[in-house]
Amino acid sequence: MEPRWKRLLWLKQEFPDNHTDPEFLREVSQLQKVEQIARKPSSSYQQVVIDFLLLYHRVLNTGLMYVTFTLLYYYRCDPMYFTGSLTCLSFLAATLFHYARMSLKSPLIIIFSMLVLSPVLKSLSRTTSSDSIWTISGWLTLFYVTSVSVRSQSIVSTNLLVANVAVLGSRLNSTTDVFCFLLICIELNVLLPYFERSLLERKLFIIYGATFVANSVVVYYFVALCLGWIYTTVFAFSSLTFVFGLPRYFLYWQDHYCKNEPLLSRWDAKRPILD
Amino acid sequence: MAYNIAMVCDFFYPQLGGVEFHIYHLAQKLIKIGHSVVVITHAYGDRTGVRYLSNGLKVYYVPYTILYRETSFPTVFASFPIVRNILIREQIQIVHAHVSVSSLAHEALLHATVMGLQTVFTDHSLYGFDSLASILANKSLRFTLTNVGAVICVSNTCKENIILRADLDPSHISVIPNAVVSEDFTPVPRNKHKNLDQITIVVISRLYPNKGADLLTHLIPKICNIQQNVNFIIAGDGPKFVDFQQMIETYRLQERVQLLGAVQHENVRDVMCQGDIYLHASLTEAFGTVLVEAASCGLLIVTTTVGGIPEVLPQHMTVFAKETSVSSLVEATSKAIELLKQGKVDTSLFHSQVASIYDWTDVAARTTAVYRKLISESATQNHSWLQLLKNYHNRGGPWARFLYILCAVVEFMLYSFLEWWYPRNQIDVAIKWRRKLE
Repeated sequence: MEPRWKRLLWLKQEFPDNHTDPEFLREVSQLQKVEQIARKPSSSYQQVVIDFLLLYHRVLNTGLMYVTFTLLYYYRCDPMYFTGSLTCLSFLAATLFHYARMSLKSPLIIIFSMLVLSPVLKSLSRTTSSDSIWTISGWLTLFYVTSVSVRSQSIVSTNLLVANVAVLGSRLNSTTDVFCFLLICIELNVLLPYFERSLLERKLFIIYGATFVANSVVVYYFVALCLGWIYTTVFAFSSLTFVFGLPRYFLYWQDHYCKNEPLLSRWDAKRPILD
Repeated sequence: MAYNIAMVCDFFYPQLGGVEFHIYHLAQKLIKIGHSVVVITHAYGDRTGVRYLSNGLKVYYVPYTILYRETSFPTVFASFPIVRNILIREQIQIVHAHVSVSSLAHEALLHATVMGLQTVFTDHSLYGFDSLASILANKSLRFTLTNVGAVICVSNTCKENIILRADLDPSHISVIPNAVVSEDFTPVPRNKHKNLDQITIVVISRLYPNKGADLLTHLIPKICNIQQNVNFIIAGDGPKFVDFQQMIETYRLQERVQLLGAVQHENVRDVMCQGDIYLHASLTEAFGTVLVEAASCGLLIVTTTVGGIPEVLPQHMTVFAKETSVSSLVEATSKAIELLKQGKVDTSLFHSQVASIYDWTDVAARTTAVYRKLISESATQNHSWLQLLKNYHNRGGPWARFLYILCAVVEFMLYSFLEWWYPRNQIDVAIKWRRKLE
């Protein structure tokens, strides 16, 4: 009987070193199949698009902050009426959604502390040049979006947001502006996403869609107004790519590289079981 | 027939490790058979230029920028002039590159292919597929191994791994294991009826998470608790060293666990010989040379079954833990202690058995067989640039293939330029070290 090849190194076998046993090949081809054949995707394209869309919406929300800032800083708009109406609206929405259980105490405390702090914030970074402020703000926005995409309801993202608003606020002209800017930003970036999330939870998709469209219209209109149509087109195309194109790559990555496949992860270091 | 061989790798003496010893011992044995071997590596500190090691093993320390953990900065083309110069000077026929994270090795393979030389690649480790670093390493491996002549792996597991990573024909891959210098790992002659009331367990490992350091820190107190007459010697250093110190303090094991810290390679044998059992809790391993060394010192081996470990040693030398868990390792260790106490294993034969299995002379002979096959096949194979280009085109995805072709074409142009700018006949040919006649 012909000796059978064994998968052992210590055994001297009558086979050349490059001998490849059919048994060995079978195992390898099984592994290759795992790697190459398009497997059943682990999550559906639609679901991923929705997740990306939610994040995109959050980015648009963040964009509203810059819209507000530009209105106050370049166009010198008077923020009083807008702030007042927005605050009333948020109180109304909060009462509607939380019925009578909401206490007025904590929002009032926050508003008054902001009122006290706004003169301090206004002069906080006067010695810093505007260019540095824009850079810092840009980075803070980037970190904010990243933190939101990792965990949407974390204290880190709120802190980053407040830091960003404080940094930007110091460029405004008056204490009133700073206060209004703070309030608007918190309402648009903390309360509005919260409101939208509760809309989704209550399955009020039409109202949610309306807020999304309104949000997009404001941001795109503003981009078109300030930067021109070329930038708007570029922005729109990159948004479309982000929402509909990137999920394809995400799924590809998930299928080919993500640590889901037990056969592929057998090369990785084993997990120690500390029982 | 004697060949002129260049071993290329980023990792070599003065750094010490499995790969470095592999290259050194293989080169020494090849020289002994009658081949001429040079080593090309990057400069280590002030160790630059040409140096000679024992038996005329010439080492080129080429000055390069170091990127990360002694890996040179990947440039694809920048090493071409000097590598071409060295290969021509030494009249190299075969370029043998080692380790898939060594960028110098990758570049040398590319240059050698374009220069029409024979290429061999040896891989020593296992890599995953999902981290950014491994994806990058696998893509570049796929590129440089497109036209490689032969590949050597240190274990069958490693062979499987590289087939998947680099998409290679399995018949081009030989499995040639590492070896040990068995004279350096001789057991202490012990008296037949040695008092086995007291058993010492040795652990020699870099104390990293992937070497199972966490398992060890949980396992040692448990064993000390169950077995009152067992002591530990732990040699090695690493980020988990503090955990071991804390473990000793917490469980008050100062009397029973010796923490030695880093041990010089030449002292490893002395440490091993103080013990009866060698404990290996690694979570990933392509071959596990240290197991062979420990067995050669006459220690009973307790180990996990990750990677290529199950292939390495015969059943009677090892006690396997089924999974990488503390309980399973405790069980295996207790079993090994029982085996020793009851005298069911005779460790005195281990040394001679290991010496007959793993020998560098054997490794060199098998490697030479790979070289010989390569040289004899090369006459019939088409190595024209057009063919190389076609091979690159047939590899990789729609994007990668264009990048591959682009790199190859630039490499061809560079080669033609160098041939004109610094012609072959102007490069001095190095005089070969005269061999001692035995």
